[in-house]
Amino acid sequence: MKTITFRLAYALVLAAAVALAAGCGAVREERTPDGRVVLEWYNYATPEFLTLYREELIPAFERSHPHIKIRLNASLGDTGYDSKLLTLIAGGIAPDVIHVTQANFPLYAAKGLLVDVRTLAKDDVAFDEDDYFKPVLDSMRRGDRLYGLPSDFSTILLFYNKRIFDEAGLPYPDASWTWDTFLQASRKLTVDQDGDRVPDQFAFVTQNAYNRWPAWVWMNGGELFNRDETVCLMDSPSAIQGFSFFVELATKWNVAPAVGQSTGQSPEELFMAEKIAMCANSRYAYKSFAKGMSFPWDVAPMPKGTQRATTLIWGANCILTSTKHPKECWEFLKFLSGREGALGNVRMGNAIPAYKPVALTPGMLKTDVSPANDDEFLRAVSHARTAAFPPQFADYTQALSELDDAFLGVQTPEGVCRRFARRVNVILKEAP
Amino acid sequence: MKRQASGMARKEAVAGWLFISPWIAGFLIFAAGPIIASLALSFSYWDAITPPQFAGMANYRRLFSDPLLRRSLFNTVYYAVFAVPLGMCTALGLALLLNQKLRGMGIFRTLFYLPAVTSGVATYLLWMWLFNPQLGLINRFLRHFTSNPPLWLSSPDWAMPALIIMSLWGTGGAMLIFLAGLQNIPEQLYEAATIDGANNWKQFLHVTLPMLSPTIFFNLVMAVIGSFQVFSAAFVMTNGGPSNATLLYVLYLFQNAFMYFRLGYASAMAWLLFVIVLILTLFQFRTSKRWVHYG
Repeated sequence: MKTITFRLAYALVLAAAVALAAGCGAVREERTPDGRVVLEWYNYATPEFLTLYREELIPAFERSHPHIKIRLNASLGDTGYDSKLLTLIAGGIAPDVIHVTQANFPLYAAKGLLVDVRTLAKDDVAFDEDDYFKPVLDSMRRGDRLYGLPSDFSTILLFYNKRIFDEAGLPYPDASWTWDTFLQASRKLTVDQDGDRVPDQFAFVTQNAYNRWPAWVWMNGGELFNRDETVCLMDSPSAIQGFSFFVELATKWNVAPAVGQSTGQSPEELFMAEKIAMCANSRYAYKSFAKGMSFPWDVAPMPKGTQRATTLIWGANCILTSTKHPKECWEFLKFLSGREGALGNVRMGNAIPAYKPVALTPGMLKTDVSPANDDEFLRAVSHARTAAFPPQFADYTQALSELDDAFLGVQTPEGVCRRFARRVNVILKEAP
Repeated sequence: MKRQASGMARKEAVAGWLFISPWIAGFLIFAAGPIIASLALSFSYWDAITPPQFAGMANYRRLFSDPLLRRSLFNTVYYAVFAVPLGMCTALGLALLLNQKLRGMGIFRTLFYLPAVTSGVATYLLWMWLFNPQLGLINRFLRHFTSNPPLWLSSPDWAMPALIIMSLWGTGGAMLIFLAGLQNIPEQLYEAATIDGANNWKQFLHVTLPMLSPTIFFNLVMAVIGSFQVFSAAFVMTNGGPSNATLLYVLYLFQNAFMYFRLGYASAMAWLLFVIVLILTLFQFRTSKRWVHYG
């Protein structure tokens, strides 16, 4: 429902942006009257974050960098965010620094709009790449170029409802769980009380999203691409098997809601309403949980296939190549991702800072909702990554949407994997 | 004398231009420029970020080799073929009912027109709940007859029928125009028909329909154009899915422009749509001579 409310705002935002960009001779303020450099920071955030940015981080940055002024250009939600930014760029009033996530970063990286920050970091003694969690930083690399700095992230773990496990008399998920343990337990945890063949309680739920399903391919020893990302490997037996296991949780075993069995609630809502025993989710879910949980719960590593793997979701900031002030932008990026930004993120309970010195300080991350195994999120970093996204952005996005046929059960997962690999291998040969 | 008349005519002409000037200004500023620009852009590659590059006919050639474009065109025709006749018949049927002389008719007319003025997106959200396979009102009702009701918006086979059914929600506009048309039919025609012994059905067939034919024609042209431009329902409710079943033409155009940043290709799509709608409209005008009677 949330994304839809954002879509409502979309039309307005776009219309406003077009009107703004179309205004004859639209110009951006580059310097304040007293000679300070003006940087425009484009992002989207919930009201709490806007407060954090506006009242804490930006004033603190301007105090420590008196020659820079930050102008915050905030968008209402994530739908329409990219269209609005595109319109700003097309209208010649592009911002300097933009906020991205694992979802829209591939677009800007593919379009060559982002500054390779290694050129700025090279001579900077105050910056050390090793201060950042490697898998998160690596998610922002293309070749050996680095297109920004991550600020916050989360690994994906298995959340479980202890009460439902107790009632079923099953042991809680832990590091010993394999896919087999997971499936056996899931079949016991799926309950159809009224006998209408649609379970009233599912064992498991997750999104069929690109930030979730690749983990199941990796867990099975498969890969989406070869090392230099020139060949799609989704038609290899290990990839097909891993993808099929994930899909068939819903379409074959029905321990997860199949398409059409969903009630329209998000995984967080289902978990909070005790309609599901487990969900694969990120630490960002804590935000929804802060209102109070009425049952005991905890987190565990994802069940192990032939190996351990999971996905990452993250937020980051990037510098647009059109900026006239790359050095000042770099200072701001370091501030947002470094100690000050990290502490701000911790205060807001926003997942985990990508900046290790803060994130690894003992007790630093503990929140009011943190369960006993909260540390699993950090432990999972060692085997977490972001699935690669080829520079042929549009074609690859369309190819991904055709995976729906597997989730809908109108084609076998194997057939879908093979078609996907064929299609992507054609795409990879085309110019981006 | 003659001189004075031409002065009058000139005055009237000036007044006419003045009255229409807000529209002309709006058209020139907000529509004409983009229309011309889109024609030029349709012959170029443009991602809105780097300057446009000349592409010759490449975008138009792509139109003929893009399987998703064919799919979106098929979906749109599918939608139009069912939604237009269904909407027209419903609107006409409602208008006939609302043209009866009954106490409190004003209330009924308001009630049936109300959906047409409610906000689009809000009603789409409402319909998403109605169509929810598990909790929706529609399937709760259908479960009395079958244990396996359609999954509606979640099913590649039923998503489009769901959108077509939902399109009836907006028939109020056409209904109102039909109602106005019905009230313009002179009462004496029906009196004469009654005297000649025509029953209600005959009267409808030989008086109402011919007299209403200009109104039907207008509604038909508008409905066909409208059905080719449907966008927001699919954008909000399904985003083209599942499995591209509701990927309507304008939605795919929008995706190309604002998700994939192929503005040149999107412009070519827009001009193809223009040509298709133009041909359909000209065809309707051509054939209208056979069945439209201007009293």
